[in-house]
Amino acid sequence: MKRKSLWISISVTLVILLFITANTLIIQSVIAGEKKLETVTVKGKTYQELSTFEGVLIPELEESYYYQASRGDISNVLVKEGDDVSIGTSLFEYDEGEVVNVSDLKAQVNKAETAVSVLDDQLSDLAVQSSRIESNEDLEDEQKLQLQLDVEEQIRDTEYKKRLAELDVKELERQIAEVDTEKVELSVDSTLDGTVEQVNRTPEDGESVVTLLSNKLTVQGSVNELDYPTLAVDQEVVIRSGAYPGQPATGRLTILEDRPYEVDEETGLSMYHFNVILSEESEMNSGTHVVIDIPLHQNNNAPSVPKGSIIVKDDKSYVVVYEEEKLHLRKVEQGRIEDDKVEILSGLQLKEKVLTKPREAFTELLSEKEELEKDHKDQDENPEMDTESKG
Amino acid sequence: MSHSMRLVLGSFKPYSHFRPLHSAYRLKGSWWRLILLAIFSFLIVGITSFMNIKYAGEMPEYTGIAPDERILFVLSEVITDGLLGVLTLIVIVVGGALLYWPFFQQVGFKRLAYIHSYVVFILLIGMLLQLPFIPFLHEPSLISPYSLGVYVDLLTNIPFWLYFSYSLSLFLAWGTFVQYAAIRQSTTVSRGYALFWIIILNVFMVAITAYMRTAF
Repeated sequence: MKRKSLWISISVTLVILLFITANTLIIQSVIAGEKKLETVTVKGKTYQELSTFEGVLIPELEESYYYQASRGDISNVLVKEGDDVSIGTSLFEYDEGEVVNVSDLKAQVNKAETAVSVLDDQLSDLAVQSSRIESNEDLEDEQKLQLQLDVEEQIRDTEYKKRLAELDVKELERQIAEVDTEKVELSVDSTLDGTVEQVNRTPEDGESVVTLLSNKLTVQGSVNELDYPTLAVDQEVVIRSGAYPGQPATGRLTILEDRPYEVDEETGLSMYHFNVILSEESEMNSGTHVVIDIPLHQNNNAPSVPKGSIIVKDDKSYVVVYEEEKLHLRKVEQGRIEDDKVEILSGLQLKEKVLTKPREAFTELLSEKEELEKDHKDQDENPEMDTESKG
Repeated sequence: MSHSMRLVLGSFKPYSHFRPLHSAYRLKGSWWRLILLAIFSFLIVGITSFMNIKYAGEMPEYTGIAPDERILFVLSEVITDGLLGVLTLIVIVVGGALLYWPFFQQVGFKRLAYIHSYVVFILLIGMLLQLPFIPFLHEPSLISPYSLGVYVDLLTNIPFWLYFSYSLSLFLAWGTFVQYAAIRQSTTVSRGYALFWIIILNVFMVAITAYMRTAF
């Protein structure tokens, strides 16, 4: 029995030794590895805060074309509600006015010019007559004077008639020029691509005949007076619609009205409209209600590290930077946190490496070391001050 | 009649050592041996912690610290781990006894704690025998060639299963055997009942420990 139990003991021992040896070999050849410092490279990330506003898609432009009674009566309205029009499409026409006869005017001009010429000749004759009276020695002074007065009166009358005739010539020439250069516009054309919204076939003077809405859409949003200062023209925005999930559109804020359109009854705040122009064509239709996300306080490509890399002590934040096989404690300024990543406002550059899980005790050791080094440095720089203080 | 705590004898010859336990009304020499065990725990766990840092890269920052500062830094870790070792001793002895007591009420809480002291002793022997492997393999004490965890490590990287399987070592089996021998000598429960619950409860304790180490 003793021999049997001895053999059992030896066998069990051998099995155990074999087990341990096999495990050792496995660990050595397969499992063993070096523990490396777990670091992470500082990467850039964009941090922003989103302000959300409500809006609705509306036509970008609305144009009305009015009736002007001075141009005559409307002869024909060429479009109806719902028609698609493009730039240059005739919307309505005026009646043709009286045709002005240019040849008649020209004949009148000739007649007037002839009258001017005749009057010129008369003036010349009167001038000759006046000089003859002056040079006639057979006439007495009183007779000469009377005759001169008569001639002068005739000269004045003739000059007056000549001036009137010249004015007639100018007026007629003006009328001819007007006919040549100013053509009466009979047709009123569209100035945009769009759809006819409204037609008024019997307008009064000054009333709209045709109203067009442009095909191009814009987003009209609402902002209250408290959020108003956060908006600015040219801000980039994202537009989302519940009717088109997963298809956000981008745009740019173009108009920010400076007068409120209403006062919200619930909050008592003034409400302002703003417009957003879409960057590209969208499937969304006019009237679609949307949500406008406007990123504020953007920090693009900000250095970003995992939350676990930061140690906070005495309201100060630290990271441990791994550089040239050495570890350095760096004080950093934290910003926003998104998806477990922390925005670093100062103290770190992109592509630096930091420990992913620095231990607090280790950080304390490094901070004590750096404070000690700083004290030594200060002492080296100002030895005189130390001597004085000691005295 | 009294029973004297002899850790070495009880660990190697449990049947004969624990036979008089059932009838013993006094357990001699327990306190000072427990104090010795506590000191032993502190030392073994502390040394293991130091070896893990120095040879197995358990604390990667160690390489980045200047040599004159390493001792100070490591000392704090070693002392902390040593104290944790003492705490673990208390947890195994008292907690283990509490866990076993509902199933082995005949044995009694005090005797169960007494028996668990032997288990701690065996586990500490295991840790001591693990020390030479740390500088040899350059792996921390968790990676033990005495356990089944080596084979699980080939299949998975899930920390819980690694900790759990590496805890299933020859020394745990040895400790389980000693517990079985001691409890069987102290109670009238059947062999199957004792074996079943001892194994289940030990596996449960190992699982809880693995969870606590990996979940936080």
